Amino acid sequence: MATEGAGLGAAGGFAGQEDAEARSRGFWADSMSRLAENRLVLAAALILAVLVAVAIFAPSVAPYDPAKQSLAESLQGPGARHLLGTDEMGRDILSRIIYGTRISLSVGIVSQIIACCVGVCLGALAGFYGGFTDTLISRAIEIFSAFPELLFAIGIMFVLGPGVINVFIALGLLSWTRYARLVRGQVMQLREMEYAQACVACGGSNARVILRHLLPNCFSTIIVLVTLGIPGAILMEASLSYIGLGVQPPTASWGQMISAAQQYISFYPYYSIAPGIAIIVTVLAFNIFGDGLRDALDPRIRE
Amino acid sequence: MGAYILKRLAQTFVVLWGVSLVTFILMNVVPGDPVLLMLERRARPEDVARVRHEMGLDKPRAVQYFEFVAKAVRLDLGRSYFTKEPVTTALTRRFGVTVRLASLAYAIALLLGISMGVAAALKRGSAFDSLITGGAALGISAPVFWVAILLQIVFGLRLAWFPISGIRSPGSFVLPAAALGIRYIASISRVTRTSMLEVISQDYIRTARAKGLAEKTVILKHALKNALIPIITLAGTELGNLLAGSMLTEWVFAIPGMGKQMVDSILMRDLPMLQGTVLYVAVIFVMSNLVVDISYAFIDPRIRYSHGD
Repeated sequence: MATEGAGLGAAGGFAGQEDAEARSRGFWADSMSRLAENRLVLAAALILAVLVAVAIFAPSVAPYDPAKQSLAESLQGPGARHLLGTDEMGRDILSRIIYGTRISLSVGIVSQIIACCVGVCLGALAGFYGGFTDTLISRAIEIFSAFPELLFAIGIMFVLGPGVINVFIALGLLSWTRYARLVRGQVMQLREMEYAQACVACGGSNARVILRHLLPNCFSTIIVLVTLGIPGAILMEASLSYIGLGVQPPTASWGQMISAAQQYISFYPYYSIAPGIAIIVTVLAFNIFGDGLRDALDPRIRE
Repeated sequence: MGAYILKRLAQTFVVLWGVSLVTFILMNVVPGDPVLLMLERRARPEDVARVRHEMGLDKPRAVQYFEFVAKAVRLDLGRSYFTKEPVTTALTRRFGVTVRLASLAYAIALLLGISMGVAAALKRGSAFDSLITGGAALGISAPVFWVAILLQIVFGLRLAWFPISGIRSPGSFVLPAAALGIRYIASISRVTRTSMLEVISQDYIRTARAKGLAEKTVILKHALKNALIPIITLAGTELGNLLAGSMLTEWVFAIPGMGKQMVDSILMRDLPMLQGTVLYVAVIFVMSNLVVDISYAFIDPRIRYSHGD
């Protein structure tokens, strides 16, 4: 069992460091080998690796400068010179999609890291201390979840103004409740376990119990939540940029490309289709990988 | 049961208060002076001061918030900066359109989602199952607005079966409802499939079969009935998301519902309209969650005992 296995590893830290390491490595190695058995998940992981590489090496991968305009070549269909054609300003669509990978991946990852930090801290505090702290944080979670996600994101972006950094913040503020809820519940359960009580009995400070014993046991669940939170954030960024509240032109973002392409759908549909496929592939790969990771790590699904 | 409902009502009250506070704060930290937005750029300072006084913007923030809440509970959300129409009137009119779109999409999603999920579970491992599972995975990964554009291209422009904007003809709602519904068909069919697979392997299903009941009776009366609980939860929570999700769909298809109104008011920086819409949608969302939770407690007695403490 995942939590218990990792728990033994962490608690074992009292007895012998080596022993603990061997056991916790055992849990992760065990899970990873299970993950590697699933071909679909491997394929998704491969796609994600390629996407990350494309994002990092965008300048070398992209055939053209994504911002280079050439009005003489505007709205050309796919061809040898421009594999996916050109947009209304004669910019190469493929290059813009390649650069858009940077925006989508960074928004997905950074916003979830922000959400995770905020959510895990507040969730751990609520779960550990209970009482008034818990009431306060729980009500905040409820109020933040009272808005439909897109509506909330739009509200925050309206206030902050458009821009990539603001998208990070808005989507971080949007998703922290998920992490807080989960960690609160787990910490509440785990703090009653013997190994946590033992740490308290040995004079361990609250911070030590939380950081060294409780949170490490939530780690696998948090990782799954981050992996499955990224695709949601990518879709949300695309929606915001599509309405014009997210990433601003001339920076290439998939949602904003679709928005620009919309007025040409009657005679030039390729333009709107290509960035959408990029979104689907990325989101699908994250979803499949996240599901696979959850199955590999979740003790209840294990048989 | 009564205690559970009371507790849930009290919680909702706190959440609604928080929602009003968050909405008020959001709209008050927006950069730019609303009075200057309303008036001509070269308005005289005394005019600006007069309008500010008329709108109550010269009062302390706390007083403004109190007045905002006091008016909101009487369904007075102010007037649009531009059309001068009361926000509540505009919202009520637009809400009708959104409800039509959302309920059509919801009906499609429930009908197709549940039947596809059941069929996939019954033919587990077959090509049909892979098709449904794969299609569902695609469905939840595609952005709603892109699906909408794709449908416009294929069924609106190429095949010219349905109009691609407005709500003039009865066929106008077909593409928007399909675009909006696809995501929920996907999520509902996934949950239905998982839930059915879990139920089908139970002993009482084997017993029902052993009794010699017709397969149809076993599936519909014994299996599906018990598999429905997680589906109802999902359908309940998705109802609120569907209403919010209709925003993008309405924008793509130029449907004059609440979503389009909201995007319009953002673009025009019509604060009272935006504030009203956010509040309106959030209240509907909170209330629909409340109804789902309470009805869920009726369906599944375990809920009211575990949460009723």
